[in-house]
Amino acid sequence: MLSVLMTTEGTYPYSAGGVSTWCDALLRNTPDVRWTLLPLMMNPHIEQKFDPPANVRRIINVPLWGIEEPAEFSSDIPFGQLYDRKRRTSSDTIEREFLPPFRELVRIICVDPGDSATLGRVFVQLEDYFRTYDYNETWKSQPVWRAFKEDVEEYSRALALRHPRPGPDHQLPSIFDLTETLRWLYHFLIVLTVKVPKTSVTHSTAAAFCGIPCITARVRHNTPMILTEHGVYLREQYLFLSRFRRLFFCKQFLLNLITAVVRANYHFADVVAPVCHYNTRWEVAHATPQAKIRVIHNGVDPDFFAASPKLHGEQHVVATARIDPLKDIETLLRVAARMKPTHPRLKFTVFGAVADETYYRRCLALRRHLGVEDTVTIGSATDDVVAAYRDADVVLLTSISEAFPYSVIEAMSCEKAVVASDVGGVGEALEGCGVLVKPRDDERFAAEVAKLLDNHQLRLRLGTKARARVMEDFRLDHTIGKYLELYRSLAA
Amino acid sequence: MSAEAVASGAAHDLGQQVIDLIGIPKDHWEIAAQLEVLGVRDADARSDYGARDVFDLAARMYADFQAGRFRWYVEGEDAEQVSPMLRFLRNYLTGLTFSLPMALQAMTMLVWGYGVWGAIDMDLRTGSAIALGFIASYIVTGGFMQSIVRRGLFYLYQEEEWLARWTALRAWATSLRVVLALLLPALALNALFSILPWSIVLTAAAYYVALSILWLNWALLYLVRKTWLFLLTTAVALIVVLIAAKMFNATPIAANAIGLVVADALSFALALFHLNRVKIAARRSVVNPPRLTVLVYSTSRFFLYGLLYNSFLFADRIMAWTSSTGREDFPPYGFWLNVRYELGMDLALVVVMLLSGIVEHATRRFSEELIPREKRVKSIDTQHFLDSARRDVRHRLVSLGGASVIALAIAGIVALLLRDMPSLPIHAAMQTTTTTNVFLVAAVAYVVFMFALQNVLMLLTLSRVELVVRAVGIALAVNVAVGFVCSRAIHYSAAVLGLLAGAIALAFLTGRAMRTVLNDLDYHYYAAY
Repeated sequence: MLSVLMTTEGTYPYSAGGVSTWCDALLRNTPDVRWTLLPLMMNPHIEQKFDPPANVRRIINVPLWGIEEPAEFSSDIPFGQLYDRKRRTSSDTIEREFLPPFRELVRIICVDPGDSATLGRVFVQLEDYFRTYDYNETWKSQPVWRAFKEDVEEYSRALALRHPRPGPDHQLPSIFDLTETLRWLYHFLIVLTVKVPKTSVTHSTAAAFCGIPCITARVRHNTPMILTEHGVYLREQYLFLSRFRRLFFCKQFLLNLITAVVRANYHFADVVAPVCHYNTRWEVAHATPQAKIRVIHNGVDPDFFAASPKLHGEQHVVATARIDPLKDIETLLRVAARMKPTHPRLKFTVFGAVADETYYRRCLALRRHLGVEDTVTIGSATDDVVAAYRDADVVLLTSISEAFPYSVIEAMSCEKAVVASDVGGVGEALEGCGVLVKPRDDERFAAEVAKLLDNHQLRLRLGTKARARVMEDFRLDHTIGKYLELYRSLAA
Repeated sequence: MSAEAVASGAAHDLGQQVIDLIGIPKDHWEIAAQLEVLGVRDADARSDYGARDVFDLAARMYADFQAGRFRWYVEGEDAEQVSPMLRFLRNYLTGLTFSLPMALQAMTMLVWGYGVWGAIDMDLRTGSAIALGFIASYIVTGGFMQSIVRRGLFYLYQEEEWLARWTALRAWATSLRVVLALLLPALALNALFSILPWSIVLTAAAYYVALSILWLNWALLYLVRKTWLFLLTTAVALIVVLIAAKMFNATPIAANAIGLVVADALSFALALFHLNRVKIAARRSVVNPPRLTVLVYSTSRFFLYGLLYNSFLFADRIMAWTSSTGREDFPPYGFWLNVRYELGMDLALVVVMLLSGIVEHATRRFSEELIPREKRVKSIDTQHFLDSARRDVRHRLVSLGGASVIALAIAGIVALLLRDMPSLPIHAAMQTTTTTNVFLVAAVAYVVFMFALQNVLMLLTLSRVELVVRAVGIALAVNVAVGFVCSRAIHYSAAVLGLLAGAIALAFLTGRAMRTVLNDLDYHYYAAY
């Protein structure tokens, strides 16, 4: 029987969203596969949003934050054994057995994040070490701090000499920078404490830290590895860490670490299977051979997302998007404001959870400022997304960043006219059967939505074409079939 | 990567927009990511900016950044908003919240003859029972209080409020069960060996349970950062005791019992109210709590610290009240309260009250200044960081020294004033050499102890609990050994020399530990969290 290790990071089964929907569909529709699930969680106290099916034989939760030490949640290791590990860990053993691979890791991060082959070996050495010695005692030891400080100082000095900007003031680490970065390493590498069972194939759902167990399985047992990229993890991290304006060194270190891990994922994966062609740009630019890449688009169940014509009611524009800056809800609000004079009875509803409270408050303030409080409803939760689409005349997506969004192909499957920003893989789905608009261009968005609202025939024509495209290219059973075929061919 | 300069003014403007947004770009990939979310596509890069694609455009912009063609800035660190004097006052008052309940009780005892536990008119038999119950409750709950606070604060810092509440209340319930369970062997032991009469044992047991609950409730209040409620609960309980005694003629024991029940109920209700408030704010439920064994293990060092620390504070009294050498009151049992000794110790507590705010301020500032100081200093200049931290700690020790002289003088004046007030019920005891000697030695011991406490709290800030446990353990042994020998060989009141010797040992050991830690403060701060 085929056994697959699936690793996730911050998604299935603990949060909603596209990746989790994809995971759930894949697990549920492959009853003949024996799954082991390894979710990396931001903290161990999160409620499950999904109930994995029975063919998921084991879930190995790995919390990265919110714990004092990994031992708190290593439920498969008896306390006595954990205590023995602590007792065994001494400065001598750390210097002898931990520091060599650790220093190599620091070198890769600071100097050569592209040395993926060495990084894979280093991960295995560190995994082996943590099977005998204690994680917390090791990382919090003086030899580790000294080695880290010494090496990073040396590498930073060399870098500052090579690059004139931004200058030593930012390039040389402060004590705080070193403290923070070493603490981050501690947390991000907690996954090295996990011993995963041997499986036929491993499947990482992001080119991220959750890929590390797949990489080590590849190095140890030559277990074939598949990597699916929904978004582009590296790009998302660049965007997130851009907020670290004051902490340039920390940003640089962390992005180097992430780049090293991402590239190691690309390097060791036998097949890189992004959900859209658009993602391949970043993958290829980070040393992924084209030959390894095999795009598998997301799919939906056309029977569940059946054609659902709207029969009556006021005109309604629907968006299914979480409240997050990347979804650019502000542009949607501006579209509503632009359309209000010409379509005074038109309503907009954004179905989706609030992912970013600050951004949500900003959107509410903008809604007030634009005077569209009675026009736009934001942050509505819905358990029945099909009903939400059914009620729509036009489905709108104003995101500034997307991969291959479910919201678009679901709406297409429901035979809806879709207006979406031309980002990521959206065009791959919508080209020819929907309307693509340059992101943030609220004037153009408003014009296209108005054109559709005022032309029933055009809406119907686009909806029919969209449904036909889904039946042809984006069916869930086709997608699942492609993954199964991939597993079987690699396991063979 | 080599790249051409950005072609046009439009590209430069766009690049400047990106640089304004992110400050210093790490590399061209960071610029590329920003360009993409600004809506720039490969087609736009070609048509509008003359680049091959977004990546090429980003590479050109990064090359321009390296060539100094963009203006950029990074905001400095935010300066502290609070004025130093206000900050000192705030910290000093926080420190006082720990000692004010004690002071309030001492005052009501002197003026009206009643406290929440104890009354001037009580006979020595009852007084001994209360002292026994008080000391036992303090020692037994010491470890639990530390564990509740330590783990609870960990979750609060992680913004896991519901889990902080969950662990705190579970630890509270477990602690209470242990408190009650320990009564069984104690009662059995007394039944077997007839150590104390049952009237003393049962009274002590009642106070022990009631006071243990109060200390555990206070740990919960400390966790929710409402230490001023210590004073409120004490004040309300004192009012209830006084009403029961003065208006309803309740016996001292009955008045105390009513007061303690009120204090227990009120402090628990307030703690629960505040814990529920933080839980409600979190809007979540308990999921996947940590393994019990690991939880116990991870808090065990703090448990040990609390147990040893509280034992240290009362070891001298136990030595004094179990010795018969030189006793003027001919103790009938192995444990017998001595008012003269207690009075000397209580008066010396004025020193602790006055200095607790200074120690609180010093500890908080040590902790608050660590991160800004670490941010200011490059790691290659670590020696500057260490020197400045050492200077700061020395400065705080000198400040504590100055404050200690003032505190000793004030304590002396208070003692002299009380000695000259014949109307006070303690007047006779105040005239004795025993009280005077105990006061003088204890006041000095407490000054030394406050120096040690400042070290202890700073070490705990850095999570160096193992160093603290070792120091407190040794200091307790010194306290007990010196106290035992002196109280038997010289005079029962010479047990206070044990406190002095223990405090000196503690100050020496924690001072040495602080020196070690300060020599590698960068490492110790890293390893602390």
